[in-house]
Amino acid sequence: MIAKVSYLIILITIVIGFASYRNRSGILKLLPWYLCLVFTLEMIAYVLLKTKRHNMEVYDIMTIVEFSYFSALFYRNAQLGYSKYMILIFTVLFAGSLVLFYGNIYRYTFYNLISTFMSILFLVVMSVDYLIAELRSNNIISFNNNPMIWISIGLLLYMSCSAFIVISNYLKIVYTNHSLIHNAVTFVSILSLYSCLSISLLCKKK
Amino acid sequence: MSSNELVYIATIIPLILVITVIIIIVLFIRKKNKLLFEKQQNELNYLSEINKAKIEIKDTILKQVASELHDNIGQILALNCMYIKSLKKEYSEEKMGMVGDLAEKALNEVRQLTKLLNDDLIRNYSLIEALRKLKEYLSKLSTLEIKLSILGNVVVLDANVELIIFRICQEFITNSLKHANCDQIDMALEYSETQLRVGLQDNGDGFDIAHISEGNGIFNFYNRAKMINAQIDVRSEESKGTALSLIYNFPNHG
Repeated sequence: MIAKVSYLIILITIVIGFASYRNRSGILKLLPWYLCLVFTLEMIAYVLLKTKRHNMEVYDIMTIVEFSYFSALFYRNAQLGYSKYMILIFTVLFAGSLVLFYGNIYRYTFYNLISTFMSILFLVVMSVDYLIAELRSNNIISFNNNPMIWISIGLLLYMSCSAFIVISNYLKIVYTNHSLIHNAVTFVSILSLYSCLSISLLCKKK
Repeated sequence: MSSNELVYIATIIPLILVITVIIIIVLFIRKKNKLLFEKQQNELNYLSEINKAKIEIKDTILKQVASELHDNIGQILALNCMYIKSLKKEYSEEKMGMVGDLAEKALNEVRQLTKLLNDDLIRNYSLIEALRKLKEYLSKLSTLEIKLSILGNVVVLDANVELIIFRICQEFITNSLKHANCDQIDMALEYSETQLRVGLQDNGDGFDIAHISEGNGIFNFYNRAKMINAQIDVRSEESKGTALSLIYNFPNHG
């Protein structure tokens, strides 16, 4: 039930994204397409799960797509020079972790845990950095025409929940004993991310 | 605990946390926006006051020029006309010489006036130079005696700060001339390492400061001083004249 509601939330966000397609420019214009890709991958993961096959490889691909899109978005919208520099370093480190995993140099688990964790950590840092830069800037922040604020807030909340889920899965604390808690937290994280993304998609042009 | 209860609790707690985080961020941004808006508004008010002061300085100079044209140059030219008319009736070398002298005098006065009109006092001169020019000009215009004393090493201040101080001095003098029936104004500027003290004093009628209304020009002094973070005090007593004291602390010395 929770999974179906989550897919519905993603679908609604996609519809909003295409309905307000003209409101955006640059990388933000790709947001509905990115959401379509995420939705497709979620469907593939769902089918694999239902046919009792491993779906972690799909989530590994999703991690790459997610990190690539959002890091590019933050890079383009970074206000300070050091933020751009930091994002470049994160990208190199993330690419390094992919090389380690897919080059069979170092595999800690059967799925790409290191890249997943790095992606979560780096995206949280990028979101916080963007929010701090906005809060410290001398510009008046408008909630109506600043999609990046909503994307940062949504991503910060989603990634914080994801960190909880990834760590708890790895340590087998929550998932084994209380899969319901895992599902509920996942649902809340999806709800908060896609609500914020929907608001960002509804933002007017600056 | 049933599984349903667990789902509710596991959903509601993170949901409350998420909503709380969003509310905190939104409130914080709103507060920041409010502060920024107030700051921008203050900056706009400051700029508008600066422009107002500039216009007022020009207006005052124009009024003085008009009065100079009427009272001085007008009189010289009227006298010259009389000499020319009398020359028509009876020619004399002496009268002809007077006509020439008066024409030359009028020409010199016009030149001086043109120079004053072309000068943007504060833009072209420092505060001290502008006050000297003002003193020079007003001394020539009327029987008013203006004393200007400068103490300490002169510090060049921000152009807008100098403009506001100049405007306060100019307004004080204009008020004294218009309303106080004074014949003497003392201006003193004292520079120390940390501040500039400006003292203005006239020997006019004075007024009861306790009975002035809020729209009175005195409040202009206070508003302008506030804009440059200066302390100002205006004291007056009936038949004992009016005194203004302004203290401007240099920015790096609090």
